[in-house]
Amino acid sequence: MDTVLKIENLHCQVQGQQILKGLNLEIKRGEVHAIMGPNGSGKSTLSSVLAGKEDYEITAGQILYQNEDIGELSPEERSWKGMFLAFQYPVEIPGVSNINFLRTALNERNKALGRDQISAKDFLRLVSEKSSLVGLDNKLKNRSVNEGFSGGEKKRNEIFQMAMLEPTLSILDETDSGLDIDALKIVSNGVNTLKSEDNATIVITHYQRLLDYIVPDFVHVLYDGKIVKSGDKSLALDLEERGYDWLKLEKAL
Amino acid sequence: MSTLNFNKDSFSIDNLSWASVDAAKLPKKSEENWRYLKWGKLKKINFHGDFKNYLSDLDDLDLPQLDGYTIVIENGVFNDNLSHIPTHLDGLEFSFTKNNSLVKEDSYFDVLNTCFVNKSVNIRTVANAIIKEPINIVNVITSSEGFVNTNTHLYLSTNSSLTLNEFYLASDKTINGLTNHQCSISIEKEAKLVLNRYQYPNHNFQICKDVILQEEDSYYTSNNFSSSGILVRNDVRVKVSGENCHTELNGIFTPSSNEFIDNHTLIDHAAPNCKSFENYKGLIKSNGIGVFNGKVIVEKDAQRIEAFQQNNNILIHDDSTVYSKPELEIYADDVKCSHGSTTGQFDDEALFYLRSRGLSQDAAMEYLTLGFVHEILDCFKNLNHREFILKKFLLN
Repeated sequence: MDTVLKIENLHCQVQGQQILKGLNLEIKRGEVHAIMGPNGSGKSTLSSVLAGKEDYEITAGQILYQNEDIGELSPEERSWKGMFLAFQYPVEIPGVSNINFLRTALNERNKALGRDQISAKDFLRLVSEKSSLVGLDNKLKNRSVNEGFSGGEKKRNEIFQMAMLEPTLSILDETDSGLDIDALKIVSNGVNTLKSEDNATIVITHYQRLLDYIVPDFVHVLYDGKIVKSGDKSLALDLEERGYDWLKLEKAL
Repeated sequence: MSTLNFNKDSFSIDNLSWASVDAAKLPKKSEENWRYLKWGKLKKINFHGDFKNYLSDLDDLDLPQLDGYTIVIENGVFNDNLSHIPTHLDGLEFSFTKNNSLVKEDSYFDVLNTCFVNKSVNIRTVANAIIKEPINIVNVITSSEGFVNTNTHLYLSTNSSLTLNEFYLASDKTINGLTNHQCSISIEKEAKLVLNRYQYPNHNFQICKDVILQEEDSYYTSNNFSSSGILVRNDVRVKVSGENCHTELNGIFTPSSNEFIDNHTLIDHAAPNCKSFENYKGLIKSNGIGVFNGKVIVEKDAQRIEAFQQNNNILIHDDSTVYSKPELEIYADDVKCSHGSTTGQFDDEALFYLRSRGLSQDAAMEYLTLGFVHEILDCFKNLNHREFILKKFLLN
């Protein structure tokens, strides 16, 4: 199986503050990796630096996506290459319909990759197919992007967009935050359906709960900017039971 | 104390009183209402008044598709060939009369307007006439260093309704003239007027003043789009003198490099039980300067007024400037009024969100622009016009 993502000794700083301090991670096609850790350990920084957010400066190490160093690429270039970040807090964009936004997103990618624009017919078929995956209400498709959506609707919308863009690498940043159990099931079900032998998923979460629904192949514990422990899904259960305090102890020792 | 410079021999206006012109002085910086304006660029020009009609085809101008009736005023002179108004129209009367300015002169430009306007455009609706077709007034300047004065009177008789679209533009980018426009509007009982104004005079200077009088149960909406201009000053003064009126002032202003767009508005509620809504959005590009100064007065006996005023601005670059001053003066005690002003930048997180979905930086900025102005954009009900300003000026 080939490697989708390889992070080597990644050091990243944000506004002069060192957040990631030598992170290593390798993800192959078909795999689901969970990254857990206490607040402030660098989870969201990792998702932002992977997606190419400005102001997130790589000070050492590298990110190889499909064997290419993507450190200098813009967020849109990474998207065109098949990366997708589902936001913890999806942003509301008033005045822009969800559907038009997605059509633009698809066509911007098609343009960048030298492909034809998607036809209206194909686009609508894709929308109807993918939105049923997360049971996204028709009304929401035509409303402004995330505007007035409930927390659950926003997260479903993220997964809907992910389905439309068919990424090779998906990063779900705290997708479970703000979700009730029903919404959690719907969102997880969407993610599981999209999973294939060709793509890979990173699930970033604080709680084990999500991993009951999206079952990871590997679980990593991020602490103080590094991965301090890796294991299979039982590690998540272990964390749930013991909390994160033991990490601090272990570090102190 | 200073004045503009005129090539006096070039003006051929009946009974033009140069003595009055020379006696009037440009507003000083110390005058609160004019404090942001700088006259340096205007004073360098020696304005002339030698005007003819040069245009032979409206297609040569940047205009959206115009439905309804069109009046073309070129350099302040009615262009008969390009205008399209039937000789007889049910419910509507057009006339051109000798200047009879109804606006009280309280600034230099008011005085100049009175002195220099040759003929006023008068548009009057007949009582109870619902005019379905809009009227377009295309004000175009085609002469460099020209000083153009225009004057429009609108009378909406009882229970009539009308939509007026005004376009202010220059025939090309090299023209640097000054247009000084006045519009007096009288809206009688139960009458309704929608005024859409599109200003994109490029490198011209423009002074624009509207004085509106609303009688009871009347409705007035102005939607103002100001895209460009070396110096643009818009004064809107609404006096609401009857009960149960609706007043709405919406605006978008987008000054870019070395442009200056100044909006001064006044809504004076002199009668009870009225509502007013004001919403201006400034999108200030690199090196552009914008001004919003909106005042709402609620007079002593004007009880149960609901007046809402809002101004939001986005500074696109570090060197963009905006001066925002919302003002409320309330003398009645049973009112519901609010005002607010915000100035900020596009949200980095929103930009990142859009780009992470594959939108290029430019496309993402367009979406954020759209998101910012859409509330006002939606007020322009003519889809052709909306599309025109969107494609031509906002998303480029």
